[in-house]
Amino acid sequence: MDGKRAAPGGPGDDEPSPPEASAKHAGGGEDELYGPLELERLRKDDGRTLIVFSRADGRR
Amino acid sequence: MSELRFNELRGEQVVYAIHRQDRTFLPDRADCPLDPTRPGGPATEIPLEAFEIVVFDNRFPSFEAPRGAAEVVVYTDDHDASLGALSLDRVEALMWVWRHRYAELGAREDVEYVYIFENRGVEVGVTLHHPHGQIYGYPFLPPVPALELAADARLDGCAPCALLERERSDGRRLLFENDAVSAFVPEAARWPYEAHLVMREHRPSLLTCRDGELRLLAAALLDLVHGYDALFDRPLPYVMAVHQAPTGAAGHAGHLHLEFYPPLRTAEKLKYLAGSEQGAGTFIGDVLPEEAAEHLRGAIERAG
Repeated sequence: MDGKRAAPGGPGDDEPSPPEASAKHAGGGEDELYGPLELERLRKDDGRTLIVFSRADGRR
Repeated sequence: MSELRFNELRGEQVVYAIHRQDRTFLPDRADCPLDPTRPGGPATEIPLEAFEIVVFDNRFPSFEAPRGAAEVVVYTDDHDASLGALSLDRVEALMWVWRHRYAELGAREDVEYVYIFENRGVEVGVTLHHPHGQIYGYPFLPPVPALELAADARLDGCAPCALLERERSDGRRLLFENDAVSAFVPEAARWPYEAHLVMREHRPSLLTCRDGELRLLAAALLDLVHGYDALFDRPLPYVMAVHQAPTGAAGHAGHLHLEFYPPLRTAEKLKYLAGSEQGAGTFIGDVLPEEAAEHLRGAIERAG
């Protein structure tokens, strides 16, 4: 993440916090969980970011 | 890198992304850059043989760091699918992907507004048929969300909340509801078959949705898109705009809702933005919103 700003809608905003969905790192720090999703961040040959999202529960 | 210039007469930013002139334009089926990369086949944007949902930086960005972001969201590896053809599980997953990108892009110092959208159909300028949407992280607050904040001030509270209450009370333009979302044609729709999906509770963004609400939003989205395709018995082109709270200096007021702008006024006739719309900024309607809602309710029922 490039900036330092707190995510909007999080603690401190007027609205209640969302259900637990914080990204956490797994394994070597490359795979993450977000809500029902697993995500993997890849770097393309030209430097652009590509994020692969899959349902952690296997449902498609 | 794009260049921003301020149009004084309109009081708005204009973005010049001249590198986009060379972007991929309606490639042959075999050359789709959003397909998976198959063994022996051409390399695409996605170096995987199969995938569910991927997000990547746009190769031809309107915005890029350190002045914003432009991302592509590919909904499926099935080139011939569409948003409406996806399973409820997949569309719910897409809601979580949107939420993830809203949080991550919105946390950046160079992003003032996260805008998720889909252009569907060549009538609205699609250049790739593979089912996908886009996300822009604007380095400024664009005019439409600024107008929504102005509406909040004018109505002395959350404007979408107030308008939702009016629509539910009136009822003539209501399309359907589930436990979290109301769908209606707005009283002063600009497009003939414009429709809005609005969170019934006050939720500034996807981040503030409660357990189960993202699945209900996904279900409502599918119901509406299925109805759209049944309206004229053809895939209906549209622009889908996801409106959420700004993420920068404008504060975090807002109300999550999706606006759909289909450009058709009949099965074959387009609603053009012509003299009045472009030169004076006033939309001239061809279909009354109450009639559009009646047509759409019938189409949603047929599709159901």
